[in-house]
Amino acid sequence: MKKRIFTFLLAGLMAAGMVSCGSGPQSSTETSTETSTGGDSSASESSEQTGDSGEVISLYILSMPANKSGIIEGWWADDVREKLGIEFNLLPSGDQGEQKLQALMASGELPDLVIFKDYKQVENAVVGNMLLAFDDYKDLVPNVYANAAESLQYTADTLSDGQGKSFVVGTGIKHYPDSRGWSGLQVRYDLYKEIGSPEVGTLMDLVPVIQEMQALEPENADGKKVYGLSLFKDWDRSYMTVGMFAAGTMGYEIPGEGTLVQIDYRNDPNGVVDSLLVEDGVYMQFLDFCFALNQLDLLDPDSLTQRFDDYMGKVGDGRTIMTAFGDWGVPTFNTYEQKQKGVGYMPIPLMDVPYKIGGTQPIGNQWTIGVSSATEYPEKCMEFVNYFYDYDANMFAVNGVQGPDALWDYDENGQPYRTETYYEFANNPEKLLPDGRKHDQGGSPLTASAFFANEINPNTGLPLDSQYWPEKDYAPEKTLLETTWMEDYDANDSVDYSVKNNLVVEKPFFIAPLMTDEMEQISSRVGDVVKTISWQMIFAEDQAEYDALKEEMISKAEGLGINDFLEWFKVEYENALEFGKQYTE
Amino acid sequence: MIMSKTSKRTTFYKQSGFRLFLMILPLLAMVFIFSYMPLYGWIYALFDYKPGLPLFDCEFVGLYNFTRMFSDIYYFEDLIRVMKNTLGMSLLGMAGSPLPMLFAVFLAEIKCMPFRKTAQTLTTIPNFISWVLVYSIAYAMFSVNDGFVNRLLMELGLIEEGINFLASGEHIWLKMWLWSTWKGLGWSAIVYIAAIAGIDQEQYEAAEVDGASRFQKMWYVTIPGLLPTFVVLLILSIGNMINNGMDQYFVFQNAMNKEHIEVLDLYVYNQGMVGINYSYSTAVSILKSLVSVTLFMISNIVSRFVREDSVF
Amino acid sequence: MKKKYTVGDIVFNIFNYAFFGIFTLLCFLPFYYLFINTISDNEMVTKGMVLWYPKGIHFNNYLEVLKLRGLGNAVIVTLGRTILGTALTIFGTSFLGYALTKQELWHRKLWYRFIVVTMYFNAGIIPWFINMKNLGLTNNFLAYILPGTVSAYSLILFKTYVESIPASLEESADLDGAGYLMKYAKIVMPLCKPILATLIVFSAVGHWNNFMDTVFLMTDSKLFTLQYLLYQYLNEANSLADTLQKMAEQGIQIDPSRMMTPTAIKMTVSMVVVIPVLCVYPFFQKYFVGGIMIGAVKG
Repeated sequence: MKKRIFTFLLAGLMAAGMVSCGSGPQSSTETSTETSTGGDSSASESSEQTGDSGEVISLYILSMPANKSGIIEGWWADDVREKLGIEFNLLPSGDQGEQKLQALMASGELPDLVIFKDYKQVENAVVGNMLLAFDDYKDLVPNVYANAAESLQYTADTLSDGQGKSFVVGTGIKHYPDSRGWSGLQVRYDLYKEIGSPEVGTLMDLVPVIQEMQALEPENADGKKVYGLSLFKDWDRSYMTVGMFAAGTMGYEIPGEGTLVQIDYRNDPNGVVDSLLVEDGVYMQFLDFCFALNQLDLLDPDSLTQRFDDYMGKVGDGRTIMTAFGDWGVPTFNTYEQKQKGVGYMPIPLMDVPYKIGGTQPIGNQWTIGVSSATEYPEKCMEFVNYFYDYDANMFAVNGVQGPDALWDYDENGQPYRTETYYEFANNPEKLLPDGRKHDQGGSPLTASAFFANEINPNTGLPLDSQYWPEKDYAPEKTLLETTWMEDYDANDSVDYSVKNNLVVEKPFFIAPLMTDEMEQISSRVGDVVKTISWQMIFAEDQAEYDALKEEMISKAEGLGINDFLEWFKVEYENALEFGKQYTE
Repeated sequence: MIMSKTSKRTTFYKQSGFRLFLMILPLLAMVFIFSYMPLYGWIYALFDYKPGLPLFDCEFVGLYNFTRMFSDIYYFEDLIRVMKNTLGMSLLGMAGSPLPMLFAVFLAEIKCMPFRKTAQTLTTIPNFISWVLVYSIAYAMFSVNDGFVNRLLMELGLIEEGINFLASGEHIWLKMWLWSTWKGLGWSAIVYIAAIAGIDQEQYEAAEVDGASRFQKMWYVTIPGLLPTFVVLLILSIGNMINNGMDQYFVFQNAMNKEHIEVLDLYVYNQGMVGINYSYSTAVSILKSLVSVTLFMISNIVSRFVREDSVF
Repeated sequence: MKKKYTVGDIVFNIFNYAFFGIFTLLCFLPFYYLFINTISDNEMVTKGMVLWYPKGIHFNNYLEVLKLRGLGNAVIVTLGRTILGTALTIFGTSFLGYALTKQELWHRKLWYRFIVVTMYFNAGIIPWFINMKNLGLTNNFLAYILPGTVSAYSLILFKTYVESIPASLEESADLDGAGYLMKYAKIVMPLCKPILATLIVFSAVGHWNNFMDTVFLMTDSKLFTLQYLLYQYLNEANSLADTLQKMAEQGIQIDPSRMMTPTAIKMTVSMVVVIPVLCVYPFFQKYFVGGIMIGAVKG
């Protein structure tokens, strides 16, 4: 008897299996819409518990550049909920993001809103009819049409599969070139002063300076050895990525995303494209520099094996004389107390080479936002995109909660200013807001934002980011480190200094060309050789080994087709510049 | 065999063998649904697939993705090197495959139960630590500046300058093998520990009566009892010879050891083919599956000759 | 009844205990190292100053993990999938494995190979996802347990084990006219306790640690598992690097220390993963001790 029941059960199970198996690919669309509806409704039910009425709807958003997931919380999310009645569920991206997007696209349905990371993804989504065109919802997205018109035009021209409609719009829009900010290569400014602030012309001139500085502080406060420079390999793709950052401080650009070229802006504002491996090129200069440091025992031998976290820890711990051409880890070392004592990392300019600053970027970068054609709430999604491209909403997103007792507010003339509360929190990083968060937490986790932080808000005439606003009287005085630097260079910050002294080149606007399959292949093969041998070169025993490796790298790269890549890139770059001009002029 | 006599009289579908088949049919259906149905995806290898497009809107390229793997001379040298690493490390791994068995045998010889249980539990821990964290531990132990080992050696005055253990490309296969053995030994031994527990006690009693020593009991009773499991696992691992995963090699790779550490899976990843070119990576995985199944079948046939009984 | 130890025995014992003592220590030390790092001052951890004993003891890292939104729910989902999933796997795998030991099974070899071969191919993530979606297994708890019904690897281990059991045991029950199910439940399963304990441990650990299915199949936060919540912590580095690089290309350099999870929390996460396993595993160990007493079964 028991057995019969059991067989019956098994048969039932089997039947169920067969049914679901039968409803396979043929009726896929039907089943899938059903399931996704189920998912949506249950999610919106859960959101109703938080809102007092059923008005808050829950939308799924996939942001490729984001690294958080789950229901979005914090002051930014509260604002979106209040103003638009939307609650966001951020889908996980991270290291599985690429595959997740592919899988979602293969199934024919994207979540309600998507922020793409490159144009290739958009192309495929448009061809697969997975996105709604903003053209069909013009009334709902006036801000986008007003504030990102060039970007809409660009995507309609290039990313619409010939339909002439805008399916996505770019983020990071920027109508003005950089004029402020701290960037460039940073050194321990206190030590630099101590050795008499020698003028540094080129990267190579820096080597003896670093040696001298290191001799002053061979060990840090914890008794650990201090090196001149420490590197990391985490982001290497087709070259040593730190070299890419170095290039920017010398008037060059090494485009990212696996390219094999350098663009020289020093003498030609349109840039001269050449191979990454050209003699005396910026990348080779960078390798020479690292090798020279290593010969003097000034390059951290753990550079090759440590990870980015370790690198940051070392900078934060004062275990390097200069940073790897970025300011990662610097704030940890440059604490308020240290800076009061005049100790800390600060940028120094290279006097013989110009610094490259970002030009305008009217169509934004390759991170673009679009609305899924499978969404149940197209209007709500459009409303959000409209909000996303509102200048005031962006000011809020960048600077946090507004109000007389909050972080910033408008004065009687309608000008924004930082409140006293702001400084209270800024000087006490551990202090918590009433909602239990630190003042820099609770913002948008989408990573992408519609405008660049220094974009000027036409409503106020000031940049979006509060650090560029005029300061009120109660603003605390600058620290000794900062005032010393500002006096020495007679400038507000490093970009300001470079601009004032004509030490800059402005990067023209262009959209990096999309690699073809063939170029992709060359890039990965050559890149493999370049990044591997580069590391071997800087750790070479002596000049002879260095030269031999260099020769090997160049001949291998040529054999694998680096010159084909260069020729292709030159042509594409010219086109991209030419094409970009119609949106900037 | 006793059954067949009685069942011959009954009709085919009432035979016990067929009835048993009907009983397991739902389970076989599950295997089919979850393991075989997705295989229709292999068809992507024949197209220039772009995610998002309906498959049949994509360009049909036939076997191009397969022929491409071999038509390219630049790949060839790399492929040889990578296969050398892959097979080398797999063979090293196989040479070490009796270790979990010996681990279990010797662990069973420990008669102090608290000690044995503690050892058994704690040796499984490394299995749960991800390779990324294993690397952080390795870095904490072996880095030039802060590494525990270097500091110790320097304090003892054995060396003057830190040794760059992690960046050196020497003996990299052996090092990788040591790491994976450390991580997996205790965990893989569990199967054998269970198998020892399943050995009929009467056999030990009989051996004792015959005056067998401790080692003789291990050799003549325990090990033969574990051998079937060992052989089965060995054959399975031969099938997996070209799939040694990439996590471990990925975290340990650097410019100095790349030459010898790059195994097939890592190579495919490093070449950036995964994700960028879906059809091509599908073709690679199909080929890998075919090679694996072939290797598995060959090893099974070999075992049929050697042991006069195929395992599968 | 005291046994006499020979010299060989003593030497062997010394070496044996020494080996296991050292190896256990080697396995445990890194774990200890992780542990003291999770309870030490995070700044000292970043500086690599914690090596032998904790410094500046605090439990904020653990509290941080406990603050994760939806933690309680995730624990329930994880326990649910682990228990139900393991039960289903054990039943499906052991019954199928048992059936495959029966010579009379219709096309026995064919079915065995049909299952074993699945270990060697993998269709790739996209077809897998579409298959699951067509089966209605997105945002569905069943997606956690059904796919694991039959585990090829466990099945092979189980079948091998059953074959090593003396056939006489089962034959004795044959005479009583028992059917397959009866024999499976009453004779085979009790004899297979050690291997079942192994398979339970394997399967439960697999379920406990799995998060990839959540990443791809689940969007409803009610179905998130513990591992998935923890994975989100660990996941950041890769995407963050990409973001930083992209931003640097545009001339923005941000300090990621506030965006990035401190190393100590990452370590905490892996402790949270390991500790429950360590707590449960010893309970299964009694099945790994001793051997089968044929006499007992007969009686």
